[in-house]
Amino acid sequence: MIEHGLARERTRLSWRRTTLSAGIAAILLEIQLITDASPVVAALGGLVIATGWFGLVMLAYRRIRTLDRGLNPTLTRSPALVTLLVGGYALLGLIFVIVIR
Amino acid sequence: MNQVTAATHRSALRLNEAVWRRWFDPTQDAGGEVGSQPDYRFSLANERTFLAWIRTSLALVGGGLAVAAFVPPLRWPHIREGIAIGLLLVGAIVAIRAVDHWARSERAMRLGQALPRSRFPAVLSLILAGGAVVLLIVLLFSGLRA
Repeated sequence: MIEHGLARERTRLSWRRTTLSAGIAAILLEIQLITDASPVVAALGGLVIATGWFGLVMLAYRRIRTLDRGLNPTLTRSPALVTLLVGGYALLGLIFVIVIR
Repeated sequence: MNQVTAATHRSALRLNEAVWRRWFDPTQDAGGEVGSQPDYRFSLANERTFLAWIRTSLALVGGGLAVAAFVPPLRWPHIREGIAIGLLLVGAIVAIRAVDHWARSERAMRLGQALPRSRFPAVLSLILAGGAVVLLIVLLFSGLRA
């Protein structure tokens, strides 16, 4: 069977789509804070949300680089870290809906 | 009797710890390396499946946030917040289940075992469809706006 590198490319695009989806969730979270929270909470929350998103982009970047260079693609921590980020966004959203609103 | 309970408790704790560790590295367990590396294309397919579940989770979280931000107050008090909280909780559960299923699939592939079976997709579909039907009934009977 000939390996054309499609599996790597599909995986790379999948990471890209995931960073885009997370970006939309991050923007929705920040919109809530800007609309309903105090400016200080909105600024601090924005910092946390943006840092989390930047962390995801860095994970995706490192992963894509590993795949592009044809290195050993065994994954260890990244999925758990991605889950922590998404769970963190959900938790922030819950705190927002229950406490601030 | 107490000793038995304590022992059960301890083994449950150990089990939880093993699950946690597996989420962060399914290639290792207490006995060292788990099985052997499968064809990397299978691992990449497992990774893409995980990422697709994460996007599903993000869509649910984003949906919950959008309900909280953009839906006007409904006639029944707190129903808007209830929908938002429900979607956010389901989103969080989907994300946790995504990493658990990824780690168990990776482990099964490394050990040459059958992939883990899961009722989760069916349960999630039923919950979402049920929620949509309940919401439709509520809206039909109560009207949209306050």
